[in-house]
Amino acid sequence: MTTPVLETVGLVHTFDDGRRGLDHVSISFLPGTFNILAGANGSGKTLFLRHLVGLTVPTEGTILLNGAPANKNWNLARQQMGFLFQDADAQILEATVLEDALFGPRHQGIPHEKAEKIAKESLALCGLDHREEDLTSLLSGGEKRRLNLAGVLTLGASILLLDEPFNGLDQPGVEAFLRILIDLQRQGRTIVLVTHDLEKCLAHSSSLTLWHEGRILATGSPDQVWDEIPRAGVHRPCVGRENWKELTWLPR
Amino acid sequence: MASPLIFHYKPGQDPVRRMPTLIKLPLAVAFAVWASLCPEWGLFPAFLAILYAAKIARISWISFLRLLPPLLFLFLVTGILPLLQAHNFLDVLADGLLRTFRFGLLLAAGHILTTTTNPATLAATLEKLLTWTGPQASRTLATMASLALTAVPGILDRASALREAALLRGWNSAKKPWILAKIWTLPLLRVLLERGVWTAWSLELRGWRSLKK
Ligand SMILES: Nc1ncnc2c1ncn2[C@@H]1O[C@H](COP(=O)(O)OP(=O)(O)O)[C@@H](O)[C@H]1O
Ligand SMILES: [Mg+2]
Repeated sequence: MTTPVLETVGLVHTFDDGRRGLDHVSISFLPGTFNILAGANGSGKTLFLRHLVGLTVPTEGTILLNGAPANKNWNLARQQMGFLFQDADAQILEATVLEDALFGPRHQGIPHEKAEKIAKESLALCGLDHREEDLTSLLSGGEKRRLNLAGVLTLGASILLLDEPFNGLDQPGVEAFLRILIDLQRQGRTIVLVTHDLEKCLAHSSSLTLWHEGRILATGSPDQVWDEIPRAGVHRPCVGRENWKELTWLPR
Repeated sequence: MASPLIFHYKPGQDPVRRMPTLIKLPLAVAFAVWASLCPEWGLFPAFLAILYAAKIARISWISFLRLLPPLLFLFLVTGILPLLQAHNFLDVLADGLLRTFRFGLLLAAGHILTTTTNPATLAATLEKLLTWTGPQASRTLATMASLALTAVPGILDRASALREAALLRGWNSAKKPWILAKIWTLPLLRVLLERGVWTAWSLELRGWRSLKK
């Protein structure tokens, strides 16, 4: 049996006012899989992702990265997990595209020439190689998203945590982003993607996890959890359960 | 000596130009107060703010050269002349440089304001702001307050997100705390500018009279 690359065991987060943000969340992600997390607004998906990279500390429970507790060394863990925020602008740290991609390698102390090579490769992977000198403030929504992705790829992330990455993107934007994700998955990376838009990407998923009020309502292959989708406050696409493989915005 | 405030308006569509004069002018005044009175560390964000505003308004760097003559003059008066009778040369020199730099920021802000604002609107706004009375004045205050109130939470959120984004990308907060100043200044200023534009628009849509007419 394959060991999961990423796993949480009994993750609980209790807020100061006593409310539960996460309620015993145990879930695991296998290497190279494409995992979709869906649930109503406020169901705790963002909070869950923040725990995975150590931005928020759990009240109880553990996070295992390749079988070892992630909190042993957050620096190392954060290199392996690339987290894309819900708000693309909030993750852009520099004025030009290349400078932004260089931020990670530079702060890892990588010598300049090698850092530049890494940054340029990541930009190329994300289709931004022709925009290196452009101002980040002039990028389109889709390009900002891809710049965020390039930024986390420079650290060598093998797990990508994506918080509603399709928000505000048009058809070409979603298509371009999805293509890159699928490429990255083929190269062996593990994808954990939060979204309400099952129509856009469900076809590519290995698993679908439904959230409700900080708990996991159901998890499994899309056809296994199909009936539970509406209960999670998510729009169930208007196709039959057996046709979930048609749900993608990539042209076929 | 050419007046740095000579009107040389160039129209355009960027956020600096789209921002209503009623917001932009008080912002410029606030900037001027800040640049004149702030502690020394405050000059750095002020300088970045100028660079950024000039960049998004696409004001040519060369056009800033016209600010040099008055600056050189000021430096002569505040930095060089006192040297003739001073004992602590370095202090006097540094003091003169600092004053000149502050004054340079004011001139640059004036340059940006006049390049991005229609002179007629600017004059009308200035006049209105200066002669405003009773209820209207309180309305302006309310506008400014609501701008501040809507912008501040957004700015705080953005600031914390940027900090987290830097942490996730390997920034060592204990070793290089100053990186924060660098990654915060421009984006936060941008949030403020954009909120300014949106607040003014939403006020206008709800029937509040701007000074355009
Ligand atoms: N400091 C806090 N105190 C109490 N509740 C909070 C706090 N921060 C967030 N929450 C709540 O936690 C829940 C989970 O939020 P979030 O993870 O952002 O949801 P999602 O990403 O699924 O939309 C929300 O209901 C939110 O109101
Ligand atoms: Mg969320």
